[in-house]
Amino acid sequence: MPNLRCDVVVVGAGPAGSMTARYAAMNGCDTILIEKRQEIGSPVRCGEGLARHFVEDTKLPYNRKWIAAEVKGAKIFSPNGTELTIEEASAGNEVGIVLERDQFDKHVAKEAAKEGAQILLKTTATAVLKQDGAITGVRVKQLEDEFNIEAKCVVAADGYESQVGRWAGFRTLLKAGDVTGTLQYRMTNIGEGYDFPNYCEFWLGSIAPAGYIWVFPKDESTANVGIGISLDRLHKRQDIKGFLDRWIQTQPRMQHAQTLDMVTGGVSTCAPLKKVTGDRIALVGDAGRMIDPITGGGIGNGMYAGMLLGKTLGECNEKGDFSDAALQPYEKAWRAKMEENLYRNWLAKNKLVTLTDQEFDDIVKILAEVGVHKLSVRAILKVLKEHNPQLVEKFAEFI
Amino acid sequence: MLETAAVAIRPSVRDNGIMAIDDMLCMHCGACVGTCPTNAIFLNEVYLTFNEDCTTCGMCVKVCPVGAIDYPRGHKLATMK
Repeated sequence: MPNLRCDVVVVGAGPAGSMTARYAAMNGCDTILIEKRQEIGSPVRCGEGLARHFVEDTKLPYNRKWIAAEVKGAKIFSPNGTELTIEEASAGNEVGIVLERDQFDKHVAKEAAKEGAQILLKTTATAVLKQDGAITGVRVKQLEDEFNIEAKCVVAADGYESQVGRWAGFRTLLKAGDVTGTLQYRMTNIGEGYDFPNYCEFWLGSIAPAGYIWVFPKDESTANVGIGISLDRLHKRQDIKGFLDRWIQTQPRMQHAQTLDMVTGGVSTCAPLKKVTGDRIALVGDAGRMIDPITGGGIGNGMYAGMLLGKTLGECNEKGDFSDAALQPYEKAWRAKMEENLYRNWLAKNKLVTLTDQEFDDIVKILAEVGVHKLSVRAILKVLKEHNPQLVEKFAEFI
Repeated sequence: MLETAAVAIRPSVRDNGIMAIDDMLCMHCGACVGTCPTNAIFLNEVYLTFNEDCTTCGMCVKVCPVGAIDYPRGHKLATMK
């Protein structure tokens, strides 16, 4: 295959990559979107929870096909089983829709194609091309072919692995405490209890050290049951699987549940990167570490940043300038939207992971009694301080 | 009988002397790739490989949710038998 030439090459056709390609193409860039898998959206590597507003924010047309379930809100369970219910109106950021990610990713890619982006499947980026130190595209492998895609700008949307960014010199390495390993089963035949399937459930405590277990309903008897555990709390091979299997055994409603699907993946829970743009390159989504460090949710942020990046690329293309300076509108816009929140949640996460089961019990009990009207770290801490100042001493600097 | 079963499963382990990967367990999720501090792991869609930049730090062994990665044969921490 001869070398290809375009304005923008996007590596990775997840929600962030496809959204970038969509807006870049919409704004006049000749765009190629490459995906290493044989099918966009599959295999799924995700808990599939998304807040409704991100769909509207990125002007994505609704389609029943990719909505598995719509929930009323979230339930948080402390280690002793105390339940805190948060309705969607107050939960704000992380719940609302449970997606069918395989359908969803294809849908976003379709929107990109509709704007004129070219999609190449089974095409793996193997290196970043450089000429005299300047990035000029990516080297790719497609089945038995190897060729270059020469582009004025490379967009790294290659997810948690964040390889393209590393090849280009970005520091996307993570500390052990900022890595979460995850395993999820899609289970069916789940029995009644905890108002299933109306709420997304989050189970806290030593059942998932420095992480949590989630139950996101997909239909009336099926749910994504998953666990995330921080790497610095893992000691041996298959530790993660052991934690999840043991918890499922303690759930009477899951005694007759069967597994339909198994999903694994890594999630970054780090502070936002200092820089996600460079000359002729930009990182977006998980590759740019835009995941919320507390919830581990990244679909919405990735899509939103992708939209911002696509628009900026359009402006760059008009000026014929894809330098770091020209990409600054993107850097500024995504930071204005989410940097402060990501950083504050990262700080809070580092405190949360030090809590004991007893402390989780006390916190959830107070919140359940008082009621939470706004699900933000600051709002919760304020409530706690009024009722039990001792409990929030660890968090004093946040209030 | 047990001997036969063990032989049937073992060929799925590729041990290149740097690290060992069990291809029957690996789900190609890339959790190890993003975690690797020396960028020594490469995932070509469904084929995981380690190169000589690996320091055998073991972060990938722990982060792998299904336990598909282990230290190489002869390494004192090897657990896959």
